[in-house]
Amino acid sequence: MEQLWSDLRLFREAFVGGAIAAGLLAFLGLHVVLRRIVFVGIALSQWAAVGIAFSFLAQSIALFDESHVLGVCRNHWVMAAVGEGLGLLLLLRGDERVVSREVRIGIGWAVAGALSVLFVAQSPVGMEELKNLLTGEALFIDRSGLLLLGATAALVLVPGSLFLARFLLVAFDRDLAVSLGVRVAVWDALFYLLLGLTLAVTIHLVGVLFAVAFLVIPPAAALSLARRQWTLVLVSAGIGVGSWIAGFVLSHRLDLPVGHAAVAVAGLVFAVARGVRALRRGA
Amino acid sequence: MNVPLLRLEGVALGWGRRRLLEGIDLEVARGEYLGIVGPNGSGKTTLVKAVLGIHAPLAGTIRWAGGGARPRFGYVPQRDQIDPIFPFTALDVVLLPLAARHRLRARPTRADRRDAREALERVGLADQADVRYARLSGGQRQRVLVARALAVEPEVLVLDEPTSGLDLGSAGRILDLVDALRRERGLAVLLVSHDLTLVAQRAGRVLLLHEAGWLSGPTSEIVEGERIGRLYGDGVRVLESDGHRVVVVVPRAGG
Repeated sequence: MEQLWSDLRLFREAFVGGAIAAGLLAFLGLHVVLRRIVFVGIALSQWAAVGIAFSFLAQSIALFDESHVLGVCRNHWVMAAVGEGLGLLLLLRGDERVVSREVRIGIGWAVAGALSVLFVAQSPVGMEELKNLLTGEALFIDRSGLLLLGATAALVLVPGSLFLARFLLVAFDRDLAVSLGVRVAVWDALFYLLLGLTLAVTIHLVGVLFAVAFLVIPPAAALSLARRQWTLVLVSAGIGVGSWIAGFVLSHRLDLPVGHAAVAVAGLVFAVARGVRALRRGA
Repeated sequence: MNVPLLRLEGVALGWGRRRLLEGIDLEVARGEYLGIVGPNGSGKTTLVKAVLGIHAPLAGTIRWAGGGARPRFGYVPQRDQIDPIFPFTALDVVLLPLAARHRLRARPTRADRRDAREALERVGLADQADVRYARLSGGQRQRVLVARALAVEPEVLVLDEPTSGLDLGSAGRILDLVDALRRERGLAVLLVSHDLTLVAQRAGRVLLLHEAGWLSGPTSEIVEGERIGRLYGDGVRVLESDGHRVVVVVPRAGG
């Protein structure tokens, strides 16, 4: 136990940062699951990874010298946002009757995965960096990463909570929202902006696997357990944070990678939640 | 006739380059009951969605009273458009448009809850308020959607096949309620339906959409035997019973 407290002190920023990332992803993920855009979320995270991978490559190309305006391409955050913007354009625009969104998501996800590998393979840091990006290194969140996560959480949670009813209305019944004079395009844009920001920051700090898992699993588990809108939000965020804490403790006890342990715990919580739901229905 | 609440001028509607309807000129006044009928694919739902602002017209304009602010719409969509993945109760569904009126408020107010419960009571679902929407029967879901439309205190009520899946008694009660509100509050009603009998009995005026164009006029002129037979087929007849028009399909001999 003493060793755990000592590790907690040592990895204080990582522990708090991981909890913020897990809670934030679980909060926003509820909308992702309800809008049935889980694969948009997964593909978007892959496109953020393309942007970050390109930023690694740019660091070895003279054209992207820091003194030049194109030097901005060396910045991980900027390029993650650019990657997501590109991904959103490819995923959401286009004629549904010619190529369905599902097909575009599949193509976008595969191409983005390939581009990430190709960009990083050509960069001086190489495949090790890509591996970190995909598998995540939540334990390496430092003070600046923690501050960034805190700022992102504030930027996302405040509008996400204040406008929860509007976001739900637009997701639940777009036609009704339009008939009431709600500008659905504006609310959609705000939602994707918040989602893009969250994914860009969390993927760089905790990895693609962690980000995607916490975007999907806690909300899916919460939907099996809770009914009221705000209870759902709180249960989803609670499962996210709780799974992270349990994963952290488990990784300490069994010497496991912390991100993977947290994802496994979240998966277990989901299975239990489904069991509870089945029991309730049977009762 | 009252001042028009809604005016369509030369409106053309369709998808991409395909035009479904062209040159529609139409006025709807406060307190008016307009039935919108036509065969499958004639553009009934597309037309009401244009009125609601969901589809932009390909040509022409849609104006509100005196060129002023958009009226408050109550909209009852076709029931199968609602996604059952949302874990909402009947009360939540009615609360959504009420809560969304507030710009900077995370939760519905007490007044919102009261209004939502009152709307559910009007459609006879007060005791189902806390039941999950997805678990309600088809008819109950339809009544929840009617309650949701009424809760926003609309000036124009748009109903798209509101009685589909309802038994005759429930359908009658819902339409009686709509009638009463129209008379009390001067509500304009746009009713889209395949059920010509229902439209003939309720609507004062009918807009009939068909492949070759559209027709609008008093119900007695539009829902008329020869015209309906021509549009829907020889077997479709309009009968009179106790002063009401009833549209029936007569089986073919030997069929």
